[in-house]
Amino acid sequence: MRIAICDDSVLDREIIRDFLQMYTAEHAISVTIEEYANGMQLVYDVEDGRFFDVIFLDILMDGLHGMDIARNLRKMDYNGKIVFLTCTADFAVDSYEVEAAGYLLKPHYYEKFCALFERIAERMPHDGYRLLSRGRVVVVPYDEIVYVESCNNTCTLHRAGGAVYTIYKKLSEIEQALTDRRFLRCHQSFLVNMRYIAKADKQFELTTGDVVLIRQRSLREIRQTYLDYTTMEMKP
Amino acid sequence: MTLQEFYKKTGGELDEVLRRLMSERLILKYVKKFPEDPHFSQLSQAVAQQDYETAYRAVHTLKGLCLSLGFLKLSKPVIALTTELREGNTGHLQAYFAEIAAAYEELLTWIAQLEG
Repeated sequence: MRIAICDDSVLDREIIRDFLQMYTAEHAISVTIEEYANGMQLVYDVEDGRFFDVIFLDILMDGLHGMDIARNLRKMDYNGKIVFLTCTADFAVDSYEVEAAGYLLKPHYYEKFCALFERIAERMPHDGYRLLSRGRVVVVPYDEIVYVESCNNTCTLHRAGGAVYTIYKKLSEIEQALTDRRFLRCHQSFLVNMRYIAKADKQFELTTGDVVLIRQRSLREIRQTYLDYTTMEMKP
Repeated sequence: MTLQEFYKKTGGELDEVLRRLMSERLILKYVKKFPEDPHFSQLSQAVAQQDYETAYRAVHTLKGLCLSLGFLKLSKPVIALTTELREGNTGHLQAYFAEIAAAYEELLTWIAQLEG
């Protein structure tokens, strides 16, 4: 899950970040967190194609008012969740206009944060890779990503069940987005989900019958990484 | 000074803060970072320049921090100024700010004495 925290107070951002880390540790979900000290940079990044599943947005910041930031985001067809951070519920009527998922009143309260985040997170696909396919956003759960292959600056994501998706990104960008330990960049042109490896030799043979190449000069380390992964998976 | 003793001085209750923020280790971390927060000096500058909009944003953020961290003694004059500015009353800005400054300086000396 990709989270943005937008608040001009470093301390407030840190508290929300710590809340998220506590929550995700207890619920075994993974998040990446981006912090913003001002709303305009957030708007620019979303305009450039960054996507966040949830944006925590302070109402009163230097520069643009949080509600205006939210309006800008919705105008750009941003359809992720917006949660306002505030001292007062005065703006509650306006928040309907921007379809806010809720608000967190200060003083910060972990239990209330959990209640809100649980409500938001349960409606969201966990641990999935978001991509565009025929003009629609598709989320492929990590469990269903078999491997990703790169060829001529285009990548092909192979999904369990046979579906394939073309992604116009470098493999290194996709590798950065797949922050789960089951994914292994085993070759210049291949990223594999170790869960699908049936046999490891000079290349990986997958349970699907596919073959994924291994960078030969790093063969030993790559096979060790796979071995470590299988050992951890076996622990109760 | 322990965290318990510190909170007796701030007018707050460590138990209350712990209920909300969950961990003494985290509370100590936030408290020790509080002096680096720029909103008091932003408020100070804004008051000197009679920039009421900036003053309001700064004191509003300070209010949130005081309440989150349980700095109740400091929060009283901070809340008072926040209310005044929200209602557009700028007549006694200096007096309100002076109270905040005194409480703020006092808080910083206690933070400096914290163990850990």
